[in-house]
Amino acid sequence: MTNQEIFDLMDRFQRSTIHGMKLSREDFSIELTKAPPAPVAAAVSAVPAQVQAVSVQPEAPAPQADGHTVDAPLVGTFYAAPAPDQPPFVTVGDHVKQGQTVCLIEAMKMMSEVPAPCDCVIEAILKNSGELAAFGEPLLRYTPC
Amino acid sequence: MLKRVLIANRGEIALRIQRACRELDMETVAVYSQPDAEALHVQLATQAVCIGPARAADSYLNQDALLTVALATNCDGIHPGYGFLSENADFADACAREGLTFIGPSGDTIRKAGSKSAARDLMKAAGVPVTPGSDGPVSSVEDALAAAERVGYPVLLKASAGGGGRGIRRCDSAEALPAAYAEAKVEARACFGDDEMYLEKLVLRPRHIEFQILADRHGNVIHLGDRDCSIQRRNQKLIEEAPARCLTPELRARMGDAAVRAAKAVGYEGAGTVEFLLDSDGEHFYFMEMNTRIQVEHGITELITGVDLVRQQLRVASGLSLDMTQADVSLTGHAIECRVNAEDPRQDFRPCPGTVEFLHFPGGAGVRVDSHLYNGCALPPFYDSLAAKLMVHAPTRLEAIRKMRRALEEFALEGFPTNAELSYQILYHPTFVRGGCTTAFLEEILPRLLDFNRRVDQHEDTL
Repeated sequence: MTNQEIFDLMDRFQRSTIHGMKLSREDFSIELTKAPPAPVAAAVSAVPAQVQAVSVQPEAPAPQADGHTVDAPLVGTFYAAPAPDQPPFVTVGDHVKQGQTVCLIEAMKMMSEVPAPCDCVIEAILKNSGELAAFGEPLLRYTPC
Repeated sequence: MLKRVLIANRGEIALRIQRACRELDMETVAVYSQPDAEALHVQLATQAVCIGPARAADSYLNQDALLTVALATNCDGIHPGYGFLSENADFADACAREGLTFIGPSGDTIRKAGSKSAARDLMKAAGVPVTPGSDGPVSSVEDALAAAERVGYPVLLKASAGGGGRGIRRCDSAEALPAAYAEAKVEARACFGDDEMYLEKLVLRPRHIEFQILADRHGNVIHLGDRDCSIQRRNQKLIEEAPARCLTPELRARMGDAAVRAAKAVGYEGAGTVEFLLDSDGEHFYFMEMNTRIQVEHGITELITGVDLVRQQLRVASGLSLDMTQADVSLTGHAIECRVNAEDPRQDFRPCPGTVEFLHFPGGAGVRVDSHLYNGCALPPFYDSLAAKLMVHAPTRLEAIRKMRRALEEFALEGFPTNAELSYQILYHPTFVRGGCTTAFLEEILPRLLDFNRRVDQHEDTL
């Protein structure tokens, strides 16, 4: 990002209604915050909201945002449980064995069981039952154990 | 009208369909394979879903994935574009079973038009001329000799079960026929396990003339004139023009009538193309095949007729009748298309995928560019190498040629080699300028053009 782009971003941020933003790229990240919204009467004052902090950290390593995920092996409808009236295959915090079914993907009335890639602990379920999952879309987050 | 259309394709044709949908206020759902995540058709769609990995069989040809996405996103139509599943009768049937409108003809029509032997019989019954031949299998050398005598040499001996150029022999005289017959039979048995042979007249140095068809569900069929696609290499078209210069108005009318009869014979619906071989006498024409899809070169017909073919496809698929009759169709001026492919003519047309480092398209009056490329985008190696279609439209053929030369001069693409320069050379070739190109033209002049380029390269290196 060039300095000019950062200045443009600051201008744009200042004019916007959001109060904070953080942008991470491969080699740096930038965080902008401004004071919480003033009462309506104050909003017409000529003093612009202050851009409080701009921190540029060059060469910061890219954060491992996603960690390990189970990704959809095909496009289809995601199901967390074998049937609507049954409990889900896994819930957050469950210890699962490698190969254990963690969810279903339905494509054209064919159910595909999605297995756990290794022994792991489920950290989060990223889709709601009944939603369309694209090919390769993360479905669950886990920590190997 | 359809409300939301899934576009089961990629590249420039996916964009072309998106544009027509947008203009008709239809929403679009794009699908893409993993390497196409940054593609333009993904970025411009109302909604886009990744359907699989790079391999086409797992993504753009994956019928279950396409139908799943179409149903989950509440689409009511699927446009297959060209290539991929566009002429897959089973996919058309599967769409119908799921209550989705396949934007194209029915599965049965695709089957009728797609089977070489069945189509031939249908066309003969409908009074569409087909290449003279043995009419059914020849059971012996004597049979073959008699049939060849009747249609005249040269002839082609073909395996009934054939395909991909196997089990085919050309024969120029009665003396050569017995040996060719035996050879072809052995090859057919080895390749297809079936040595039934038939015989067809070989049309030497023909032109490839095709007619654009439009048909609705209510029995109305019209044609939108012709295209000359004779400039091709290994059945890959390179330069197309509309209308064909070699047709007299009388012959155009006869061929157009035959094309409409052909479309009616298979119960056609939507936009389609009837391909003919035009004999070098410029008089006899023969049905070659019917393409049951929108074609790559549809744009030049749009330029000379002013009819938006994809819009018409969407209208017909929505159940509307054609909003024009044959009498409303008039051909204005002349249009030429050059296909710019990511391939290197200097290295036997090796596909050269890569990243677009710099791109500039020609502009100005009468120039149309259909392309999915943008600065910085990648042209992945997994699919076809079409990079851009440059089209021009001008009042006369000579003006169109000049405009296309100018357009190719303006065109700039850095990042990988293309065949654009080859097209530029052809546009200066006297045979092309005179309108004398047959399907043999490109293969015949290629060695000279490539040698010329090689010497230019060497000369530049020594400077």
